[in-house]
Amino acid sequence: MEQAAMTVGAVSAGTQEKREGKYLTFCMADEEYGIGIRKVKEIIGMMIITSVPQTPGYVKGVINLRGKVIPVIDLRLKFGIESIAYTERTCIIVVEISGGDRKIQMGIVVDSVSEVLNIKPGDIEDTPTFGSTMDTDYILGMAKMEGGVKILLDIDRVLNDRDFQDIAGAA
Amino acid sequence: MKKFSLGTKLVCSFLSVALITLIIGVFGIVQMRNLEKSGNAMYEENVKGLSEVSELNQMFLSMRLAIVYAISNKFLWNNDVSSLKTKMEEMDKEGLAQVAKLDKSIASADDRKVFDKFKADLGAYLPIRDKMVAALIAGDKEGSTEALKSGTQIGNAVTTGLKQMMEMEIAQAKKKAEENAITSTRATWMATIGTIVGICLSIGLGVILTIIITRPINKVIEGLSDGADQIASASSQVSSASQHLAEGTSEQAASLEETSSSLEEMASMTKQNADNAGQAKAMMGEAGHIVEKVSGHMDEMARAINEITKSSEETSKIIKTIDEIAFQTNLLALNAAVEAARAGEAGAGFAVVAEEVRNLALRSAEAAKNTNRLIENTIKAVHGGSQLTKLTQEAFQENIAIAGKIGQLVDEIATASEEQAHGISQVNIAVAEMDKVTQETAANAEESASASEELNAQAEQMKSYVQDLGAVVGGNGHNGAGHQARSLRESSYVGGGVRKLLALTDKSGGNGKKQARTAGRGSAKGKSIHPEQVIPMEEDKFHDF
Repeated sequence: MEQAAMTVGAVSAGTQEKREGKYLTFCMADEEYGIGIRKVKEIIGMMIITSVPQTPGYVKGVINLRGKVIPVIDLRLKFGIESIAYTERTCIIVVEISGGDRKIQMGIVVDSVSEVLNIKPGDIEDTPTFGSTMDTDYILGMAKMEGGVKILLDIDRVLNDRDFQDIAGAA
Repeated sequence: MKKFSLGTKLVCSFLSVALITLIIGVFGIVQMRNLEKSGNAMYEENVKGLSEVSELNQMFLSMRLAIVYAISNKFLWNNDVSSLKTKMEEMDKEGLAQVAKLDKSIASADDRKVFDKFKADLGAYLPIRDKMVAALIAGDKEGSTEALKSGTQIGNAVTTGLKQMMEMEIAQAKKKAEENAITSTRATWMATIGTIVGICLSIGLGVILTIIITRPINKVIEGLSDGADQIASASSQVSSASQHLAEGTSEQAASLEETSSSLEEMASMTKQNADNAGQAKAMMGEAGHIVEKVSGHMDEMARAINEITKSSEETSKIIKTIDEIAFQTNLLALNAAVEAARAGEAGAGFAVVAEEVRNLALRSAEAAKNTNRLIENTIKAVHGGSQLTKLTQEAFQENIAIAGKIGQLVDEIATASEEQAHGISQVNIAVAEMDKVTQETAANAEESASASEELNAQAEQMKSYVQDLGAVVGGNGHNGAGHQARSLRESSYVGGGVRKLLALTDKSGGNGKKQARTAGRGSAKGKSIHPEQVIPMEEDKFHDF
């Protein structure tokens, strides 16, 4: 617990600068999330996902992006939110995450993509602790925008090691 | 006694009286005959016997006299007396015959004793006489005188015997006469008694008979009177009842006429109904045609709306394509922004361009959205219009269905009206018949009223007859005023009957009833109920009384 608090503090102290910049905001389950633009490789519309057996439930499958096979996960299912049917606005954000020493490209199915925002550090707030049991290090912070809060995700931490291995194995 | 008829009873009682008379008569006759027989017997036995004895006595005396004459003749005149013997023989023959006859007629023991003595004496005398005769003929005076002397004694005895016999006969006759007297007296007494008894019996029989006859007759008379009274009351009841019936029937006839008139009204209304129904049917047909036309137009309109919808949908699809393009453009812009961000400073200008492209994309998306919205509105409106059209069509369909049903109903109404008219005409006929029947009933009621009047009169007549009968039976007890009353009642009957009929006539009004009236009157005259029909009094039944 102390370690977690220290981690949070370390993060908050160290990543203030890190956290500012451009974020690609997207919408999921009526919530606005943001991913650092550096992590985002590409945004594509919905396309046919080839499902792969013996993969976790949130792993939707793989797609063929210009010859490259990229695994796709459903962020809703990853976050434990009920999955919905895909609409024409549903997009796949191809992110480049680094796990360990490797860089993996992965697709995330989101409900819709909004815009690229330039978020100032002043707008970013630290993640409040909801109790020690909650693991919230995948949230970089909360961005205050007019009328709401956008959750800035640390995509690297959204997927932990185990997932990594699974996905890496799948890819 | 009750089982015999009156005639039998009468005959029987008269027969019994006759029988009594016969008995008395027979008794009297028998007694007469007995008397006659007794008298006859007296004559036969006693008188005849007496005469015979007397004759014998006479003969004896004449014989003796002959002898004395002969003696005188011989001795005094000295005549020849030889004929005396033959004379004596003749006399003997006669006398003995007479004695024999007498002997036969002797009945009683006393008579027999006397007769025997006489016969003995005669038997003793005769030889002496013979001797004397012989002596006389011979001229023996002394011998004849001696014989005469001896003969005189015996001759006297004979004479006495004869006399005794005569006396006996007389005594017997006397006895017989006494007996006859007794018999006659007895017979007289018995006849008297018998006559008295017969008279009493006859009177008793007469009284009993009278009672037997008159009592039932009186009872019958009472019963008849009561019956006549009851008949009179019943007939008056019948008369009043038939009067009521006639009244009710006339009322019925009046109401029937009303019914008939209202039926005619109903018939005319029904006909009107039928006509209206026919018109309605025709109109319904036209309405159906119009509706069909409208329905066709509605179909066309629906088709046009469909086409509009289709083109709208296609437009919408195109708009969707535009929207997709905008979206893709947005994505491209975002990608460009990402690349620009990756490029860092070098891609700053590119980022701006990307931003502008994104704006354009957003604008197109916006425009597309607006257009889409408009199209959606249009589609909605068109859809609404289509719905309305459909509803209208459905409504028209319903209308058609309803019109069809109405047509059916109107058809049914028309048919029903026809049947109703038919039924009404039948009811009319039935009412007419009912009217006829009512009139007949009225006539019958009047007939029965008059008949009951007649019955009443006949009951009165019967009462008077009964009174007459009572008079015949009772004489003073019942008043015999039946005759006069009868003639009075006959006249009153006619008047009363006519009055009744007139009263009924006054109450009934209308033409059709005249027929009934005349019928009633005619029948009252023609049909007369005789009392025999009401109370049968045939001869043989009368005997039962």
